[in-house]
Parts: sequence; structure tokens; C-alpha cells
Amino acid sequence: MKKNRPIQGLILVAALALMAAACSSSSPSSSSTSTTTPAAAGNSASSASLKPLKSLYFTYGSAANSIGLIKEVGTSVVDDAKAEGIKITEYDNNLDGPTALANARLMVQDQPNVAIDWNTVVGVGDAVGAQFTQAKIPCLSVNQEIAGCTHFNLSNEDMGLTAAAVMLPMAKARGWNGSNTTVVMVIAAANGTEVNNGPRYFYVQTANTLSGFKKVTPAQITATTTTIGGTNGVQINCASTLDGAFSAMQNVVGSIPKKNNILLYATDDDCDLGAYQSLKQNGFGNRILTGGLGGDPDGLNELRTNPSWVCEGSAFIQDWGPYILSEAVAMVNGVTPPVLTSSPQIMLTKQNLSTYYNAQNNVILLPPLVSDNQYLAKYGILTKFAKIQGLNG
Amino acid sequence: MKPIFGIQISRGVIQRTVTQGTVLLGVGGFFIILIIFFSFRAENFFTGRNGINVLENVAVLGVVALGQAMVLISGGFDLSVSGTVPLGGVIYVILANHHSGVYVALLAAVVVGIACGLVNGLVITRLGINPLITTLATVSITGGVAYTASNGLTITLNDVSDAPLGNNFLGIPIYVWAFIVLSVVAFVVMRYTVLGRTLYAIGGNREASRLAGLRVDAVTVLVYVISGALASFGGVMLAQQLLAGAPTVGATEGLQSITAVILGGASLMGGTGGIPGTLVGVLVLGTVANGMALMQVQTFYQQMATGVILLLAVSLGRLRLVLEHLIWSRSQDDDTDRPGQPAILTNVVDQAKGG
Repeated sequence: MKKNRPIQGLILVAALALMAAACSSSSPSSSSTSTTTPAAAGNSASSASLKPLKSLYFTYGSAANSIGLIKEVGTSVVDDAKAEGIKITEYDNNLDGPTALANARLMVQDQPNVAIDWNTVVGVGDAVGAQFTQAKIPCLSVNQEIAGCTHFNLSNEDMGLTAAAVMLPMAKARGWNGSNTTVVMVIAAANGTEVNNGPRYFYVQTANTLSGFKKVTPAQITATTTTIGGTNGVQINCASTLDGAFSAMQNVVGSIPKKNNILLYATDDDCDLGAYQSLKQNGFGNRILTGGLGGDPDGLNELRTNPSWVCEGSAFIQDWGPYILSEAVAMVNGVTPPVLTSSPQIMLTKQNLSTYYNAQNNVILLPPLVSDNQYLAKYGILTKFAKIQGLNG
Repeated sequence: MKPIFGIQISRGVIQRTVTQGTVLLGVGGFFIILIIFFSFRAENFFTGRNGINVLENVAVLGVVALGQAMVLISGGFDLSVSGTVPLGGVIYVILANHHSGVYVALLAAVVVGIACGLVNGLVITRLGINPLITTLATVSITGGVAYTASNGLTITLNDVSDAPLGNNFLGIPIYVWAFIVLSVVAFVVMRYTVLGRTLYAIGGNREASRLAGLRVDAVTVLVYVISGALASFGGVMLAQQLLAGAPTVGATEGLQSITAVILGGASLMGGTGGIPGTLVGVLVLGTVANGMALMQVQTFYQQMATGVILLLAVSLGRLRLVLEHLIWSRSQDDDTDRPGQPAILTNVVDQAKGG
């Protein structure tokens, strides 16, 4: 037992150091900004009255740098900020709630002008948001809502509705209805209501457009819903993975009548592909109509080559960086952003695909700004780092 | 013994100096080096706020590691904490949201943890199944129960007042104080009680302990019960930190806690290690994660660094044992307190039996 004494000494010293440091800490200083609406800011403020970008400090919490697309967003935010002279510190939330909370504490410690945070664990948003609001640090949540923060995201509801607008006329023309068609909704149950809005609004719109489907409200379709109206609607949980979607679909595909047509819509391209492959292997083949979501290379290639893949919702995620930075700059300059500042998004079809993507699946043009993200244009960052239809492209 | 510079130094002094020196070279010294390194390289590292950050970040892991240390010292292995932590958190949040009250919800969560530990202990002792296999099975069961209870969703605490452990006392959250108090209790138990001595004896040589009259099976069950209770309590702490419970949150605590305990000088073979070393191991992991985050090092490198640190610390521990062995083997005083399993076992068993 004597051998442990040096360790005890060390831990005592370290613990005392940490405790002493803890007791000597001071509460973070607060910051405040006067606010104006986006419209007012857009009309009245001139660039001369804006705070110089070089005086700003932002922190950015990436959802997970292990995911290429998400890392690309972070790289864009950081690189564009640095190019503009904005000081920025990046943290990696690593798809983990406790890590997101720990990083929020570090961001508070940094005392930025705006804390930008992409946290993927939905329920942890309250705890993360409390860190920022208690420290009175303005915060901007990306993709997933964080309590007390302004929000930047695609609208999954719009995606579901615009996919329906493309797919349902095709289905109607083929004579598909509730007696011979099943809507397969592929969701990521743990990712919260907003992310799963696409599939559920897609079903609701289908039931309102095609005859014979059981009508339900969006609120009646929850993460725990499995079927609607017998086989009118079947919902599976892909857990955001290709193999998760495939195996979940395999488990329920036997319950869908073999003669039925399939309208398939998922929360992302991986989930769509996994479920699509399962349905195809189980004999549904060319009786499937589907629309992807994400604008991933796989999804774009399917849109080009697969007759069943008739549309692809793209939120141009890899190009979010300048939009996010612009919103943070707007906040520093006293603008109160709308409840949701929309990311660039569009429903691609086989006809308009080449307008926005080249053959190598690189973005060549971003869709026009809309009413709730129009205010981002005035800070110059979008025109410098993005090519937007109707603005500079 | 020949005089050095004319001074007659006893073999015991040299032995102790080498032993202490090698320990300092181990994880303890490494921890100090880490603090010094990050103080110079990471902005905002050596600040009061960050000191609290580190303690807040390691509190849950620390509580889980206390139980894991006891299990490992007794020669066992508890992977099931990776399921018990999220299960404890989910149960707490569900009950708290159903207005059961903080204490009832807390008690229920801990009781579930105790039940998990009891099942582990009974399966291991009565059925004779390897602890690794047993706890691998129970982590799957408890994790599955957590998914079932929560429908796979993250459940948010409806009322923030149901998270009293998140309140501050002397500027530090109560859950950090809970971690400190539990650490002191665990240290006292392991160092000064019959139970603690018995755990070392069982871990050192299970069969010899049984032959010596120790209640090996009962103590084994008890240690898994303690580990389950602490893991479940850790889950409650985590839920109160995050204001939410989820079946995925805390699922890495099993391997993390084993890493911390091994970093602290324990052996997978049992019989060695201790609470102070475990706490240093926990602080090393927390400090590395914190310092690297402040230095904006990518998570991939953090993972690699954790692995390298584990190997480094274990290698240094091994080096320490080799050096000790070399020195002891040259000792002419064979009847002194020579380390080694039989001598330690005899000593510990004597103490455990009150001798």
C-alpha cells in the first residue's frame, strides 16, 4: 500500500489546484446587443454602420468532423471567417450529447460575440442552450434547434411537400391510389420531429391528393408510428444509416402486399437507398417512385440514371458556411433573425439538375434567396464565397 | 551494500526511491506534465472556469470508474455499465417527468442499477460464467431496456427543477461534489475496511482466498452490485447535466472507465490498483479531452492520443514492475516486505480476517 503514496500526493496537488482555480473563477461577463428586424436592417443600415468583421470573434461547434459533409461545412465556416479576418475557434461535438455540453462550456469560456453550435442530440439542446443563455452569449443553432438560440436549417416540411408536388402527379397519372399503393416513410427516429417532417408531410400530402388513403394530421404521425390505414402508410426507422434502412425495410417488407406500388420518401439519401434496395430485391422493381433528400453524390447519380428516382431535394449543405457566417454577423449587428433562417434548398428534377450541379456532382449555382434568408445578402459574405442565382450568378 | 560517495545508503531507501520515482514517471507524473503542457499550449486552459469544466466533464466517468476499479481489483470485469448508465438516466427522466419526485426517481434508478449488478454477480458466481461474457450480455439487455423504455428517443426533462444535482454549491455543481464525496468513501472502503482488503485478496488469488475462509462469492456479488449502483447513479448525474435521458448517452462509459482504472495502475488480472490511481486516470482522460479541444485538435487525433496514453501509462507501469523486480531480486534481505503475489496475499488475507 505504501506504493500509492506518491500518487496520492499528486492527486491531492492536482485536485487542490483545480479546486483553487475553480474557487477563483469569475462569472463570465455579459454582452448585449440592440436588435432590429431583418427587414429593417436590410433597408436602413448601411455597410458603413456595420461592425468591422476583424473585430468579431465566433466559436463554432461542428456536429461531427468524422462525417465528411459536416466537416466540409465546418471547414467552410472557419476558412471563410478567417479570410474575412473574423477570429474563430472550432470544436467537435462528435455526435455526442455530453461532448456537445462540454464544448458549450468551453465556448462560454471563450466569450465569443456569437456561439454557433451544431448539436445533433435533440434532447440535449436545452442543457446546451442554458449554457449560452446563462452566460448571455448570443447563439446560433445549426440544423437542430437549441433552446434560446436563433436557428438556421433547411425546412424538411418544405422538402416533403415539394417532393410530393413532383411525385404525386406522376403517381396519379399511373392510376395509383390507396387501394394499390403504399407510402413508405423512412425516418431517423432519434433525430427529432423537424428532421422527420419530410416523410410525414409527404404522407399527409399524398393522402390529401390521391384517393383512398387514410387522412391524418402531421401531428398524428410520430416517431413511434409504424403503420397508417393498414398498408396505406408504413414507417420504418433507418437510424440515419444505409444498412439500418435496409434491415428495417427487410423486416417489414413482407407485410406490404406484393402487388402494391410504392411511394418512398426518406430523411436522407442513405436511408432512401437502403430502403429502395430492399424493396427492389423483394420484387417491387419498377413499381417504386422515390425522391431523395440531401443532394449526396449517390442521390444525384440515382436521379440521373434511375427511372424510379424522380427527384432529389438538395439543401446544399456543403455550402452552408457563408450563410451561417452571414447570420452570425447579422446578429452581432443587432438583427433579430426570423424563427428559422432557411438554408439554400431546392427540389431537383431530371430537368433542372444540370442548372445547379455539374456532371461531377459539384455545385455550380445556388438557388435564389427567399424571404427568410434575403437579409443575409447585405453583409457581403455570400457574394464573396457563394454563387447565388439572382444575386451574383 | 557499498557506500555511495562515502554515504551508506540502505537498500530499502534505494528501493523506495526507485519505486516512487517510477510511479512518478507513470500516470501521476504524466498528469502533471499534461497540465504544464496544456497550460502553455492551450488558450484558457489554466483558468478557474476551465478547472470546473474538467471536473464537470469527468464527474460521471469518475463515479462509474470507482465501481469499475473495485470490480477490476477483485479480478472481475464490468462492461454492463455501458448499458446501466443510459438505463439509469432514462429511468430517472421518465419517472421525474411523471412527477414521481426527485428522490423517488433517483432511488428507482439506483435500485435498477443494483438489480443489474445483482444479476451480474449471481450469474458469475452461481453459473460460473466469465465476467466478460456475462457483462457483455447484460450490457445488451440493459441497453435494450433503455431503448425500449425511451422508444429510442431522447427524453427531455420537463421541469428543470428535477435536476437539482446541476445546482451550484460554492461555485461548483452538486454532482461534482457527489463525485468527490463518493471518491472519498470509496478510498476509505478500499484502504481501511475488511471489504477493501478482501477485494485485493480475491483479485490476487481467488482460490487461495476461498481456502483462507473469505466469502469470495458474496463479496463478488456485492462488488458488482456496487458497480451497478454507481453506474446507475452516474446515469442520473448525466441526465441532470444534460437535462435529458437517452439510450445512447453514456454508452461509452464501460470502456472509458476500464481505461481510466488501467491508467491508474490496475491490472486486468486483479489484485492491484486503487482509488487514487483511478482518479488520476479519470483526470488524465478528462484533461486530454479538454486540452485537445482547446487546442482545436481533431477528434480523431484525440482518440489516437487516448490510446497512446493508455499504452504509455501501462508500459511505464510495466517498467516500474520490472525495475522493482530487479531490485528486489538482488536484495539479500529476503525476509523483508518483498512484493509478490503470495506475500501480499498472505498479508491481505490476514488483514481481511482481522489478523
